[in-house]
Amino acid sequence: MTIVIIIFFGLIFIGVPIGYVLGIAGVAGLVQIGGDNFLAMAATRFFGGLNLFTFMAMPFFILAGEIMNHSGITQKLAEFADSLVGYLRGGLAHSNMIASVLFAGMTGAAVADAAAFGNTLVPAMEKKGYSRPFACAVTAAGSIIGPTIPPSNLMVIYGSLMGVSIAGLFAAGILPGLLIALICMAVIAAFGRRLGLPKSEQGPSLKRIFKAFRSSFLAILMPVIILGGILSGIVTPTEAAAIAVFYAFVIGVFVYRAITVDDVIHMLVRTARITGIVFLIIASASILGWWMTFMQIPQIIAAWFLSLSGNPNVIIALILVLLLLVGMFMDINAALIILAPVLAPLTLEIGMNPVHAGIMIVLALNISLMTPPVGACLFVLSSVTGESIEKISYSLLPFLVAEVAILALVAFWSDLTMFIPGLLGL
Amino acid sequence: MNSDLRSALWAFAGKINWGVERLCALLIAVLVLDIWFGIIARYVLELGITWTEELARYIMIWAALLAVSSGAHRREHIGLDFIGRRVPDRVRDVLQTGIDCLGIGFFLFLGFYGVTMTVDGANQFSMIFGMTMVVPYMAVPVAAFLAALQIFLTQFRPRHVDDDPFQDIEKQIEAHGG
Repeated sequence: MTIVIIIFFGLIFIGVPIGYVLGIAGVAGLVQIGGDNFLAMAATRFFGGLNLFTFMAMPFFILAGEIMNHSGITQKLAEFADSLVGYLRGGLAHSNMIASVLFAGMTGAAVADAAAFGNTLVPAMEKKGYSRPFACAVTAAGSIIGPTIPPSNLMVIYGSLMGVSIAGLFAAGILPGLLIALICMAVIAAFGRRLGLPKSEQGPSLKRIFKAFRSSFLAILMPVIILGGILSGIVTPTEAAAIAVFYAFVIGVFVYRAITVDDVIHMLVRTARITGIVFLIIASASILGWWMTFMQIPQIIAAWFLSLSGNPNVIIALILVLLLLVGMFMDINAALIILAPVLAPLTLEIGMNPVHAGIMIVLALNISLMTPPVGACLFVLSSVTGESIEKISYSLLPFLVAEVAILALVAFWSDLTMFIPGLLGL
Repeated sequence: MNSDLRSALWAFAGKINWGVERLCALLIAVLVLDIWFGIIARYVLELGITWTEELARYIMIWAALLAVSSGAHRREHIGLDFIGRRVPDRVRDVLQTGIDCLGIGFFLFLGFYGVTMTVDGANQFSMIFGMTMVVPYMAVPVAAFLAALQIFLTQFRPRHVDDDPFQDIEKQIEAHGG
């Protein structure tokens, strides 16, 4: 077992792509347990790891998001959000948060959100007198709402791998996502005067809200269709994702008239490439996963955790620390694929509902996207805006503390997460 | 090595990748159409067909695995960059070559056993279509050999491609699922 662990961590440390590391360590594991007897298992596990219908929701949600982004919908959503809260002190920061919530209902990825808003809202905020680090911090804090509010690719991966209801995970992600938006808006309000955030001279205007709503209505309807279909049990998540693609395509081509044939090819290629990167990790992890199951690694780790403390709350706290630390350094899809099979049995052991545990794990990894030193959202915002990671991190601190507080609330108060799934009987 | 030959090899890699990416786009488009048809058949025509699901799974596997070689060509498969960023260029190049050798080794291994699996698949049949599993299984060796080839050809990649800061942003976005 030791040699496999050394290979795994050693290769990760020297920078071998995670998709390769998982496969190589998995093959080393196969050699360790059976010489060359089990080597043929590598190819069958590689194929079998992907042979799940539920995974298909992921490329579809990516494609739908691509189409909506390309249709210029980000700007329309930002305008609608601004019409709602733009008149408050720090109005643009508030509208950044609301736009993140609206955007979250269409895409399931934080980094795309950070890049899109980093390009559009950060310069707009700077022009209105916000400091650039603060504008970046608001965008980073809001970007993790994307994969928390459904649809979320991380939830699709977790649900598919662990056999947990994806519809249940989607329903359970709604309240934590909204709470994150609310607490970030509270932070903006609390710091508004101290930081001298600008206040619009225009008051609230129903006419403006109505106009902005009308121009972004079709985009706002998309999450309603996706979630309505899944949560009411009419369609499966994969079918809902395919419907989302159809809807986005019709809007992009016929309503906004922003998509050409070349764009379609480009978006299909990008979807395939993104899917290929994640699916290589899933397929390779399936080889290592077989070895881990054979060696009963999840049970060994669960027993080790439980030997530290029999108190479920302490175990949950340890899991959160582990996820936040790992997510700081590792791609969160890979972290989820590697850690979910290890942590899920442990959460079951301490009596957590699988949906609740799934949301806790997904949210912790999402938050780690914006933690220094190498959180991906921080990196992207720093690259897009030219601001230093150190300055963004400093401005981000209050948001980070607030979001970790929400994570703790989600982790230790299961009723909060399970309220909507319970209401819908999921 | 002669710089013309390097450029020619890199251009060859680009052409293969161009073709593979278009094929992936086509497969994703067929996948979308297949699922749309499945939905119409289930909810509108009430045909009760189930083959769309099986077909979709195999198309998805082909599309995603072929795209692995595209990720290799563009160096988009993400790993930690602790050491790479902290060492001189020459050491980084040596490290990168070592990493590439490991990648080539893994994909050649996977390709070899993928061929064995595909040959064995002639005696296995899919649940719904009843077709031989050779076609779905073949995705593994084809994709693995293509990925190994692309990793090999990245040795001829011009340095400036790596140094493009905007590519880093693209990489991060794509590696994190869009």
